[in-house]
Amino acid sequence: MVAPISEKKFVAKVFRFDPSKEKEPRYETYEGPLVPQMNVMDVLRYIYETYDNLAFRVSCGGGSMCGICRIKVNGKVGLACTIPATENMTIEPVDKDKVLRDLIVES
Amino acid sequence: MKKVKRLETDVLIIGSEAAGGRAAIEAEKHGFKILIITKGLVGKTGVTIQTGLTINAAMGFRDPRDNPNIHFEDTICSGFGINNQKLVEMVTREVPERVMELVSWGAKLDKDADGKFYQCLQPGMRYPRSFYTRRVGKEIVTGINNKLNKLKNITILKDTFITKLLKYDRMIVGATAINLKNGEFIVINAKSTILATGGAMQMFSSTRASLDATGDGYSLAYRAGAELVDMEFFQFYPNNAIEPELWPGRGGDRARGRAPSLPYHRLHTRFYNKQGERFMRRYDPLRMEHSPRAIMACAMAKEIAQGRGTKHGGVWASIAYLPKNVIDQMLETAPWAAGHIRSVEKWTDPRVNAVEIHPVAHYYCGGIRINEKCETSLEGLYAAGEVTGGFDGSNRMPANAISMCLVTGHHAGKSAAERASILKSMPSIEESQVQAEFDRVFGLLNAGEGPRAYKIKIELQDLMEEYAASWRTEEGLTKVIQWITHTREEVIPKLRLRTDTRIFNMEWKHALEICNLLDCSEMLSRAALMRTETRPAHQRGDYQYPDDKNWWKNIIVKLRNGDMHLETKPIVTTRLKTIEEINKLMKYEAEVEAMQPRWWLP
Repeated sequence: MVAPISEKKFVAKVFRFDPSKEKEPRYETYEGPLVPQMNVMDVLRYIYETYDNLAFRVSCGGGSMCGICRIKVNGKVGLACTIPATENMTIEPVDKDKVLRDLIVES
Repeated sequence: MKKVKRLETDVLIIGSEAAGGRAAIEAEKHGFKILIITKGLVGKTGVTIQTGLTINAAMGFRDPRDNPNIHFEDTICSGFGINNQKLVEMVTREVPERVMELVSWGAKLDKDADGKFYQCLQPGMRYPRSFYTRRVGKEIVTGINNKLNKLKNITILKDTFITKLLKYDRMIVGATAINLKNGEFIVINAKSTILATGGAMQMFSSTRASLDATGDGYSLAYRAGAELVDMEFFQFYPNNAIEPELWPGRGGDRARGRAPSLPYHRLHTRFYNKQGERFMRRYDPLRMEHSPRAIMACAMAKEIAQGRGTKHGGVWASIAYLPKNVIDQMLETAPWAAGHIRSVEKWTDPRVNAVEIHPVAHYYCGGIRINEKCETSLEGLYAAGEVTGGFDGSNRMPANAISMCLVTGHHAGKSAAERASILKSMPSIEESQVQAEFDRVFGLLNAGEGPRAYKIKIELQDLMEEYAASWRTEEGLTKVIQWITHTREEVIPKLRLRTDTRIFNMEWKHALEICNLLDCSEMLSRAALMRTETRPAHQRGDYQYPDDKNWWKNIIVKLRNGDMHLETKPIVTTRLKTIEEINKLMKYEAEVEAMQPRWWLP
């Protein structure tokens, strides 16, 4: 059976960069509830809806079907919809040199 | 107007996947310049890549009795007689060729030990007909892209969002778009335009479909004055787990889609209401849980609406009635089934417990009205794939979606190229239309405090889910229409973004998408309000029975003098001329189907 929703929190350090408005990239820290089976895509959507107009790619929305949400979490590249969310995460684009905005890279 | 980019092309194709990609391949054959526009990335955006398992083509590999005529009849039975029979004839006749061609381009479909393709039986089929592979969407995308990449005259613009079709008199002459990468406004002048934009599942909160399925094509066509048909018929997939709910906030697509469910017709899954009654016996005693999707989704919605739903607003799905050793032996021979069981096991043991499920928004049966040449009611505008209406009738048969995409894609490409060859010069564009659209689009790019697009979307999805899904009443639909009118007039003009950047401004895109979703939702609700009967996929709580005498017809929606206008038209028939004939055939089909073994893979 699934564990009851706990009081756990995630703290996500997210790479932000808008080349049309900023000179340098920066990292922004966001907090939110950490629930069982939550993945990084959920975290990104939570940030988008709760905090800011964060740019990231999403299409199928989960289930590793389309592969559009490739991202780097704690240094490892994977699909945001399949990487489990953890208490502390650093979320970055797959290649910082090719960033168009925030987590979206040239592709 | 600053920063406007101007492009010219013979054929403009909006959408890049099964339908759009296939259309491009066809149109390119005739030597024309093709421009494909996708709002994301080719092969990753849209719903084709999400296609689960199967494509229909009546080739009789597993049962020689199957043929395109029977596929035609089964499709009409699944669509409860509402289908455009000319389209059904065309698709069922031509799909074998389209599927084999896809295989020759590199799509891999599973074969049996004897080297022949698998074909499996699904609800609504008399004989096994569905080609199978575990990730069929990926194979379709692979096949189409292998072929597309070899063609010379095709340009693809990714991350480009079409905002309006441009019209000159009654003719479509191109479109306007924004480049999401840099916010550049693009004006495209085209001889022919094909819409292949997919569905509008994002109208509902329950959907598992792509977040891209925001009904852009329906809205573009509607605002240009094209006719749409069967907009009240939206298919709900009758089997999606609703527990455990994952998000602490609202349910919505992200939560409801996540928990794995038991495949229903593939695992002999049974459905029960909260009283433990196997309720399908009251809706389809012959086929029970192998009934067409729309019958089951409506049955579930009715059980829930009448107070026989589970605690979380669903029904139960279970295989626990089978003895444990039967389940174990069954799984030994079927690795695909074992995978499903394992994923359910993570949160409950399906050998002991049932799963709570709920119907979810799956596929838009209705859409832009087309003929067999995929011409719409507007000159120069063609449509292909899910965005079209008429083929599915009131309910789509499993695995018919890609079949229809491939065949309509082929015809749309061909017709669009034919028109391009007739037109000697590029049609003119009215600059006042371009200016008005520029003002609308950049009017939405406005930062500050105000209503947010994503919040409006959540409100709309919840409202549609409650009042316009599989249990509809006059009161509920009226509420939805009032809300939409109010939102469009009062809220949208006040929309503000949190940042006005022009680089991948997701909120800007969401603002444009919500305008499209509002149009789709209004078309659905108004058509649903007009159809005062129940026909699977459209269940009216206040008119609970089919009314063939008054409602064996299509509802057409179009924009007329600035207002949404609805009218009815007779069903387009070929071989099945009366609803009595179709009803008789439906009964016969169910009887034949009920006698088939229910194990879908060898």
